[in-house]
Amino acid sequence: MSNYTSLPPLFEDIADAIRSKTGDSSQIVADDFPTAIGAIATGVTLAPAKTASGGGSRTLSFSNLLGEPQYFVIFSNNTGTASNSSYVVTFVLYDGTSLFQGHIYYRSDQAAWRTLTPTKTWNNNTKTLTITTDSSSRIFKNNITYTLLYAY
Amino acid sequence: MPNHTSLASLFSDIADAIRAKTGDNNQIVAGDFPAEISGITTGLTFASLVTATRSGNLVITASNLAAEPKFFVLFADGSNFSITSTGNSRSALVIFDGINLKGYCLRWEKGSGTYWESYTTYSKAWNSTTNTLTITAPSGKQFPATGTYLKYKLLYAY
Repeated sequence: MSNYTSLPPLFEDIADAIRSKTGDSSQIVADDFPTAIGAIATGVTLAPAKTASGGGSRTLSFSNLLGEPQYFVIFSNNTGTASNSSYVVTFVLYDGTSLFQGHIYYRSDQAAWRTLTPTKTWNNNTKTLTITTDSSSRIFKNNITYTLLYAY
Repeated sequence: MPNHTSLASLFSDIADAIRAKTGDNNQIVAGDFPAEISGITTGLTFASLVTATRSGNLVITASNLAAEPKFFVLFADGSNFSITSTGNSRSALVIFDGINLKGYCLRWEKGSGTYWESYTTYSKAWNSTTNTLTITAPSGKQFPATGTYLKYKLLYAY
């Protein structure tokens, strides 16, 4: 607990604390402290990872998030397998503007990787993010755990 | 332009401004203002997606970044890099979540399937002179060659 006996050292420490957050070095008059504090950019916070099961469908949902994701990446740690001309979605990235969907594909003569464009929706009541892949043939595979890292 | 006419109104507005940043509702005594301001979380700033460069089979670099990434996702964006040799693995995605660095590959086994695998043996290096991030894949997990339809992209926060 700080113990100030006069105003000047308190005001000096307040100004130093504000400057350490803004990166600015200019003087701040005490009258402007509230405005200067209000202008500190708190940016976005990367939330702890959430997981969901693929379920074998083209949609994947994460509920009870802390806020609508401004940026996110969904990825699978599991060893997924695509076989018999199937597609398995392995990651989805949202950079704040565009969505990217990466998936693996199996053919008898090769394996392939491709990125395409899924869609996303946000339910503000349930704080749920839902991703829908670009095609019904490209799925979040059953028994694979997908992890979401997001910033809000 | 603020124009406080008393210490009480100034201190009240300072406390309100701090609470607006922290989300807290507690009373704050004036002597704690500096510590409270220092405790405000400034979080992360995400940069726009940038193009990364493949430098040899195992190395990807991204230069002139705004600052050292505290979090990043590197991925191969495009259509059809393919594997036609059974047992081969190719790197498609690398994620640094602030603590762990992990790379993800696809592997093809003829007659069996295409597998998605993860490895922790990727490494990263930061050059603060050129603000360059270098990501190196382990031997045998090479990054496929770039071309008309394949680019490497990096999303990072600092």
